[in-house]
Amino acid sequence: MSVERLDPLIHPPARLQLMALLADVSEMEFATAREILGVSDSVLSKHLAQLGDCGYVQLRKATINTRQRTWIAATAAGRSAFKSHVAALQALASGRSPHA
Amino acid sequence: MDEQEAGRSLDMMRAARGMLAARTRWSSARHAAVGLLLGGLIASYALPGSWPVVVVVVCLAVTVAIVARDRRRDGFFVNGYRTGRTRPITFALAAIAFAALVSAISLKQRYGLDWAPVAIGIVLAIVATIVSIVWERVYRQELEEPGRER
Repeated sequence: MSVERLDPLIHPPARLQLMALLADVSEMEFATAREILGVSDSVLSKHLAQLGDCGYVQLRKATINTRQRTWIAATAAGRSAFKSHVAALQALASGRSPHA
Repeated sequence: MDEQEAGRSLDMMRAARGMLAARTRWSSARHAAVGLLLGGLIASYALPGSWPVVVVVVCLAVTVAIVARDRRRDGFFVNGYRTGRTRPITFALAAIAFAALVSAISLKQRYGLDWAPVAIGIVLAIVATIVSIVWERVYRQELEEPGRER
């Protein structure tokens, strides 16, 4: 049985959606994540900085056709925290308390 | 957090995954490229001398180019070995490709059937193309699946 633990860092909607995207890909470009989430560069950067500080995501810079692009990936810790958070949400949504 | 708020959070998460699923559509040519690469690798064992090695190097270079193109076009990259319902499909294709390789080498070297690698390569190319299409569909279904935990 997986751990069910609400994570305050993942709780804000944009961060939850970002982690949901990153959990299903190996890497996602900054611009793609921004488009899907419908947020500005600065808002996404702020969320990424907070997730990055806790080791949930890592950023990689790559130059493609002379343009520098940022790629985002969820770390193992980030994926694990996200999975626990979603399990806790599902427990709450089904009317029971999350358990560890 | 109450029951309704948790439900809303899950809905938002599903909406984001749904948008990713909508972007996950690879062309028929992209699926055929997977088949041609795998089939080409096996068929190359019909070639004499060190030509199979040359083909392997070319196939690896083409694979790198395809991955780079995928990243540019899609804005994301999905590893074929990712955990989830697609993983058994990936392992099944790897097992089929390995069996095809062993068969091609065996039939050519033991039985002198020089055409065998080409025939097996053609079959593998078709199978790998179909498997690639199935992989994409299963991945998209997984993204769109409600109540998925991972």
